[in-house]
Amino acid sequence: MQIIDTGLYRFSLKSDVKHVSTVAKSLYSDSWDLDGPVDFSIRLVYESLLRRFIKPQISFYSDQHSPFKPLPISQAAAVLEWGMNWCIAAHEFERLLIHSAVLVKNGKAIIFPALPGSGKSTLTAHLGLSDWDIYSDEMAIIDTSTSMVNPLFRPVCLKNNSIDLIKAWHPEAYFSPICKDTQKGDVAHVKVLTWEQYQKFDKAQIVAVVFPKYVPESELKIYQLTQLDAFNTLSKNAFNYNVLGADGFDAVARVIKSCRLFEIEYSDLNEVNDFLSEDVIG
Amino acid sequence: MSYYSLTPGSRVYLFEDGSGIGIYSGYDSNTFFINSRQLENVKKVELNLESTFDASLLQSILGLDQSEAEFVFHDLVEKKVLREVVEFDADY
Repeated sequence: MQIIDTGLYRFSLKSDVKHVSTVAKSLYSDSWDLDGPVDFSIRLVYESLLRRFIKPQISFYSDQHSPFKPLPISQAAAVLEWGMNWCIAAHEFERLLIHSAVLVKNGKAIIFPALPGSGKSTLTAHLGLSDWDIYSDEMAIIDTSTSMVNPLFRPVCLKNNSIDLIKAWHPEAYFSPICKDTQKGDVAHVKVLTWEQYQKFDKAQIVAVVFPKYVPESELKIYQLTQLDAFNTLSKNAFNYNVLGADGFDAVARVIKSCRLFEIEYSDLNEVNDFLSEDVIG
Repeated sequence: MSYYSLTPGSRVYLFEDGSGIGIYSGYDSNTFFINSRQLENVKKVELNLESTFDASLLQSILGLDQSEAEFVFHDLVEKKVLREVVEFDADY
């Protein structure tokens, strides 16, 4: 059994697939602490003897729940990360979870809610491996009473062309082996911070919400959003908005009230970095 | 004369940039929005469970004309975001 500590949530992992354990060790090993309770007991197992040897497939389990159909063993490392995301999204009922990346500088957080294909992960990985703190690539975990965002110790999930781009820009980073032909295309995870760096992170105040959209060969365009539009989109990007009920509504309202709200179209990440560092964080 | 107020658990959030209001229904947990006609011309109004509502309040904060405001108001009553406040007659 391996322990994966993401800071807020602890997972115990049992895997039938040896290379998943190796990848998990590379991405999380410095956070491992065998003592203490775990939030989720997860397993990656073969469903049958047949599928162990003929076109092998792997299934993800959290306790007795298996949220996905069995997938080819070549995708096992990605299945682990998706499964961990599912565990958090399906069981967090106290904090507001928004499908969004979170970057922090000088203790000020910007959240980037975005649809797939918007370039969110490429943006997050590049800025996080430069001079920003990555609090999350996948979900903003917001305290409903204070609207502060929590850090999470997770890698960034890169897809398709962004894998080669980030490898070229940050050759020193650790990348998990590429899982080919998943439902999201080719997928790899990049380790963007050490456990030591993570432990220095505190909860951060959200100062801006930026909806990014990658448009090839475009100049940076910045649009100010109305609070109504931003509220509408944020609440639709929240995994557990309906579960939280009125607390979710109040939490989104607090975020909207305290933030500057933008939509950006970009192709040059350095232009985005300048805009965020100089005009948003200030 | 009928008076209306928010149903228990409902919320109304007036966006400070004047873009409209967000409404959380305590009856069915849905959230919906009404766009304002008067962006950047915000009227500061306190909206809470004890406030009483009528169509003219919507006219005032959202810049709607009378028929639009009445339509929205009745829609809110139908969706059970607003409920009628019954006043008991002390002599009865």
